[in-house]
Amino acid sequence: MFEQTFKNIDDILWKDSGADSELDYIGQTSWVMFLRYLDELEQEKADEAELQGKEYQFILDEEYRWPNWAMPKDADGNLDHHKAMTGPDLVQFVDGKLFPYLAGFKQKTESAQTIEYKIGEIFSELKNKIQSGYNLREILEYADTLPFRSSKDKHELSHLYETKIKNMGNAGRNGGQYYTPRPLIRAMINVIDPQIGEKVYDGAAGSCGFLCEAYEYMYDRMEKTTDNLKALHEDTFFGKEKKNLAYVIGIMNMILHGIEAPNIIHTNTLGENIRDIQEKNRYHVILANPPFGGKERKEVQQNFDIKTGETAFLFLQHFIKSLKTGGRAAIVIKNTFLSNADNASVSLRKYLLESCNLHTILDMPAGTFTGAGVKTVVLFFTKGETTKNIWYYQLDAGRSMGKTNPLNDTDMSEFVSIHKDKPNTEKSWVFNVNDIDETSFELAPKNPNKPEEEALRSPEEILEEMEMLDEETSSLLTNIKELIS
Amino acid sequence: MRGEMTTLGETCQFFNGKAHEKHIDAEGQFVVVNSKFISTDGEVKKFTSKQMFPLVEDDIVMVMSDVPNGKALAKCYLIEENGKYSLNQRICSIRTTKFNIRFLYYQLNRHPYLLAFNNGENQTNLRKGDILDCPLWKPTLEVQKQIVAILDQAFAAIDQAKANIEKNIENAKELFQSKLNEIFSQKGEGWEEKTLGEVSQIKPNKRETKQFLKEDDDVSFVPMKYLGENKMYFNSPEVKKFKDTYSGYVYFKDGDVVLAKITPCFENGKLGIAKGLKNGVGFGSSEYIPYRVNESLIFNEYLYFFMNRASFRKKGERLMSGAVGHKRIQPGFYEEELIPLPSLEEQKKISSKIKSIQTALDNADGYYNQKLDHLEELKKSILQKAFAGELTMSEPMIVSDLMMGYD
Repeated sequence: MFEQTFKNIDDILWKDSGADSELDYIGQTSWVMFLRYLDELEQEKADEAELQGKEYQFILDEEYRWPNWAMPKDADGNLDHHKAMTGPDLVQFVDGKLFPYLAGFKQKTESAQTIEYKIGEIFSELKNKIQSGYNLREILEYADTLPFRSSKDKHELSHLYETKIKNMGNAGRNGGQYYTPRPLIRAMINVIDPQIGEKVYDGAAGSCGFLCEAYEYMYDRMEKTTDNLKALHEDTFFGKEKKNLAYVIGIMNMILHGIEAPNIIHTNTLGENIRDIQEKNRYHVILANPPFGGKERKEVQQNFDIKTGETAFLFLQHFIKSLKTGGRAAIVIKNTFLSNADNASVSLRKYLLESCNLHTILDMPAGTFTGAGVKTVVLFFTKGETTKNIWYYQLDAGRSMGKTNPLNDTDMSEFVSIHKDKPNTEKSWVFNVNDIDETSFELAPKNPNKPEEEALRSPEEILEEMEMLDEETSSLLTNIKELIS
Repeated sequence: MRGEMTTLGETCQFFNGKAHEKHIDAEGQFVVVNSKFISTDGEVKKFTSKQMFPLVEDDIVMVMSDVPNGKALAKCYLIEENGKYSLNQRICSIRTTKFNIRFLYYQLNRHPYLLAFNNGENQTNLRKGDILDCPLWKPTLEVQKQIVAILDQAFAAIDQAKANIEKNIENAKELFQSKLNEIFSQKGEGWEEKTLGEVSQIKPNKRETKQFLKEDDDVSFVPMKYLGENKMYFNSPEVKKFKDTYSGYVYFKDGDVVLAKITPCFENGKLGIAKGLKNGVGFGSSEYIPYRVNESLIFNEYLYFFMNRASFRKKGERLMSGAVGHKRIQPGFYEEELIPLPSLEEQKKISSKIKSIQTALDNADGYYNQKLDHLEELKKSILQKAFAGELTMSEPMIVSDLMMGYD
């Protein structure tokens, strides 16, 4: 039902001169939806308070509440066209008053867990790109039809939202970096098996795919007690994201999945000095797909023991340090991490193998990440013991994957079902760490079980066959001679 | 000559096919008999659900139109089943009760009278009248059957002989690769294993050229097309000024072994030793990796033979990396790959041996291909004799003369 609404909003954005790509569509749709959601949330809280005979303290001042600036209604519940702003007035209000007011929340709050924090973060970073007030008017009206009350509605919205995030990849190279294919995420979560009571962290949250899927996974499996629900919503999921657009999308995504006040901090994870990480900053479960290829500046590199410009490698160190003892992690990383010969890579592999039990490496085929040419692997490790054996599994989807033929849950099912036993099969094998090369610590997958490419026959064997065939040919020709004479 | 000469028109019924273009349906249950179907002997099929001209068992269908010197003109196919085929336009169907059908098929297939309508310049379109006028030899049914029996057997034998020869052509190639692998996996006395990077200077720095070349000197310019596959030495007819090639291109000298690193050039075997470059210097694609051998360690032809192997390429291909469409072999492979290294003298002996094996196998290949050609000719000449009435008990000499020289 809401698909059409989203489509309509997209169409208007497409018409507008301000919105340029899929990234803009989702960014702009997101801030409008956020304010709409916020209004519903406040309404609900106000209603609850009234039932209890209390006063509800609105977060937003009256002038800036949705029913006043976006959708003033008359007695019949229809849009009051006299009061409703449109055209240049509307844009001026949004750009000149609304956004600065909302951005101001950033100054007011300290705690990242509050909704005020999120309002401040979102509106101080995001800009309204809709240039025509008439277009904005239409969009507000569409957004007004989206219900945010029931969890069923939010669920449906969350699916549509996810599709939009996926399509961000169409915006070009940079669009896809916020999106990890959901079948891969689900498989990783299946292996890690987070339990209620544990804290789950993603330091490169992006669109919060990992956190949202972990939420669904844990919700389905836990007892639905009040305590559990409270813990799940407030004290389980933690994330950090540096990029503005991703931050907004991540927040919105978590909200749509039912987490009202997502604990996502808008910050550069790598800006923290790794030596400052204490037990209280550690987590039971870490799931992430850190960005690769960035070149971090020297100041950032100083925060780490193993200095390298490669962003993903700095993130890996951060994750290892951020795990509690016995904590479990699943991290997506470029496959060159396993084989690169530079000092930093070698040291990092050594460090990982010594401080954690890297029990599984999942080798993903090319085309897993649409738009990116990289080949990736997933590292599964537990903090606190050293690695003795690594179980490798090479995913073979049996086809070339790409945009029209993406990874699906069936592709991952074999891995998920056999990973506990760590068997030797055509695609999986166990590598004993004692056999590792002590200078290079190379971990690139070398499948010993792959059926040998048809070994060439020995020269003698081949010659024998050739002679035999030549003899046969000779006698065939003699036959023909007889036939014809 | 026994039996009478007649024409197709006097002995057979002729039918034109119908246009099926608008009714092609991949899910259809009837096979459309068109030119492609006949020329591929029934391998490539198109389907329809409208059997616009049904064909029956023992119909002979023939292609009536073709491009100049085309191989499909007057080619025939024998329909073996009812209710399965529909005749397309520009294909005709011949029906008769006056001939043994297989005899007629053999005689009519690519009949010289009909082939003569091809003038080598324009499309040939046989008309009904042309086909009806086609002369045919009609011996008794008894003789027809005898001839069919002989032809069937002879052709089966020829086809088997051809299959054997084709297999041996493949075997020869496999033999060569197998022998090469055997040579390069030896671990004899005094043999060492070194990496490619240890035995040669990879991608020599072009700055050195400034020491012996001047701006306006000529150098060879070698685009990818001149780097051959299975050709040991390469050069290029293109010459440019040193100053115009210095930036942006890869540098190499006479004697360097040059390998292409990008797909599909690498897999296709683009590899060679530069020889005869202008002023001894060449510049070319950035996808080239030149190896300047350390002459005290390795002989450049030995390195060439080591790299010019299917198994070397297979390995490099497996370890390729890069964005789709731009995969390249990695330094971990082209620098680190191990090469077994005997003494320089032994290397030269080996290179020499490989060259002679190559020559011998090339000769065998040439011989086999020639035999294949002969067998095709034999088929044609047997047919010719058959329908000139010469393929019978009374005329052995001429045909067995034919057989001399085909062993």
